[in-house]
Amino acid sequence: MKLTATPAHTRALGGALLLCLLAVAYGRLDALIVALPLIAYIALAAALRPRTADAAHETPPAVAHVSAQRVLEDDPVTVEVSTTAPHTLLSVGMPAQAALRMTPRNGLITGAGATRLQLLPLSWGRYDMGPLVVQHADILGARRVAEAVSPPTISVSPGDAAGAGQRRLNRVLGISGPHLSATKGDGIDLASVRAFRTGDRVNRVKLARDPPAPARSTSTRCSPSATPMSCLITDTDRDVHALASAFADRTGSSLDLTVRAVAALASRYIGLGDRVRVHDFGSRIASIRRHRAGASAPHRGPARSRGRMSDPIRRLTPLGHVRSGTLTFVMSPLLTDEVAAEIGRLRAAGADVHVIDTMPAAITGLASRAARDDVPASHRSWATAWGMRVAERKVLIAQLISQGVPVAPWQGGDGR
Amino acid sequence: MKGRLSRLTDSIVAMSRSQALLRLAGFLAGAGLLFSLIGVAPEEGQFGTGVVTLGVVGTGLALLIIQTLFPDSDMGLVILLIAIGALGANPPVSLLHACVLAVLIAVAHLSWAWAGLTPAHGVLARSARRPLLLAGAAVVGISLALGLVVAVVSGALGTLALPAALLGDGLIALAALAVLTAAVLLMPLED
Repeated sequence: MKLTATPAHTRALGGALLLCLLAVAYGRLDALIVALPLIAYIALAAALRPRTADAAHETPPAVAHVSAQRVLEDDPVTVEVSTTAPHTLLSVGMPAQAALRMTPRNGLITGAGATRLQLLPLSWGRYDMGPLVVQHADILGARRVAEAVSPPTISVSPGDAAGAGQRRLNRVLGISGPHLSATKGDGIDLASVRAFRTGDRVNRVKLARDPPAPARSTSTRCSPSATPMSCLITDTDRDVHALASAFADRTGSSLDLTVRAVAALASRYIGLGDRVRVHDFGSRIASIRRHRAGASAPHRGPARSRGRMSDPIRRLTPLGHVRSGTLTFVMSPLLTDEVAAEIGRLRAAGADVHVIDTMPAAITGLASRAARDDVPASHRSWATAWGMRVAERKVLIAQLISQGVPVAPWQGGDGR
Repeated sequence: MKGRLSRLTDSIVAMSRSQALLRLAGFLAGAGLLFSLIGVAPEEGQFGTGVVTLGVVGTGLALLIIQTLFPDSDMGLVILLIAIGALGANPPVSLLHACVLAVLIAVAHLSWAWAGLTPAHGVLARSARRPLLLAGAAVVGISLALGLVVAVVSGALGTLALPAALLGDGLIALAALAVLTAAVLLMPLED
């Protein structure tokens, strides 16, 4: 990139020329002495150009690194911008984002050589940090050039994925510890080692362990199709959040609660050896089928996509076949009859359905606020509207409970 | 739509302390430069000298305020032109006074150059302190050393006696230099 002169360089050049003119034309020695700092400035700036050996007027582009691309919530990330040219003042400016706290606060820092910005993601999701504005200047601020540098995207996982679910759910259906299928099949978990029989798979024969022996042993595996499966169903078409300060408190929106619940439940059941399937009634999260321990955990999957709202009138995507007795969690703010109908269908198909209510507590508390006098009128109508919606929801919840479907709010993310 | 004035007030409110110190150093040195040139100018009894001086200094101060608010502007060059004009209108100044003027110009120029690199809310990293101090010291040191060489070569050392009136200007130059050094030394830095 080509360096251009700053107003400081112009100022030094103009002032030095005029003072030298004064000195020469009128024989003024004092004017020459006054001109010396400006001359020294121009000379030093020319000597200390941020350049590499091969190009005199070019400066190499800066490189941006992040300290980690996959972090948990509350883990700081450092963005470091560096250049190979010597004598460089690098100014790094980063556009502000709602859920990203920067140090320094205003996101603009000038340093010599490598320059660092500390970032603290306040919420889960994928952060595209936009192009950083990087300015290369020499130490004296006489020449500069600006460029846009794009650091890699960082993904932030819900911080309570491992902890919250396990504290509150100690037993799964009365069984603790890994539980595998009773039947043998083509799974990955070892079921038994026995003598080779005709019809066994050749690649299962343990050739290395038994040198020429009359009976070769072979291993059989647990059948994957009989491993218990947990099904996590999300309802993400409506993202309900109380106010614009959704990022400030951790339990801001229903989508937040849903993702935290999915992350905690998925890591819980994968840890128990279950297969976990994630299905979305909406369209924000791509469905994930049959994840097992060792595969990438599903809580890495969902990415924040608040911007994309699907058509609210569109019908929800039903879960297809469900095996009788499948442990099923439905994470939903329970705002539509369609969701209730789908829950009823799953229950009729024999699934063991549990409903996790992801309506934020800030919204359910609005109904009581609506009647209070200290709430301004503009807020009161808003609160009244939500109060009516919550009251309608109470009927739905009562119906579900009367049919034997337990409904509980998600509290895993609150306890931190 | 946001007006220019509200953007200006926003930038002043969000100004970082390092920027504020650099701009203070620039303002102090610029004001010192203008005022130390008045003292030499007046020739008693000339018509309108006072008015012209006041006008020049007043204009200079107004431009100085603009330059302090927008260090990346070309107003600094106009301020330098006013100072050079005042210097040219004066009889030759003593060696010490010339050195004082040189230090003031160096401090004002460097403060504006560094402050003009980023908008007002930019902060300086710890890694920038040493290079800035070294570069500033190099500019001032080289120019003062060269100035002494020039003075010695031309045999102008006779005017080295310290006039009492000059002490004030010398103090202004020292203060400006101290503020710039303190700005770079003491300013809050980020890692």
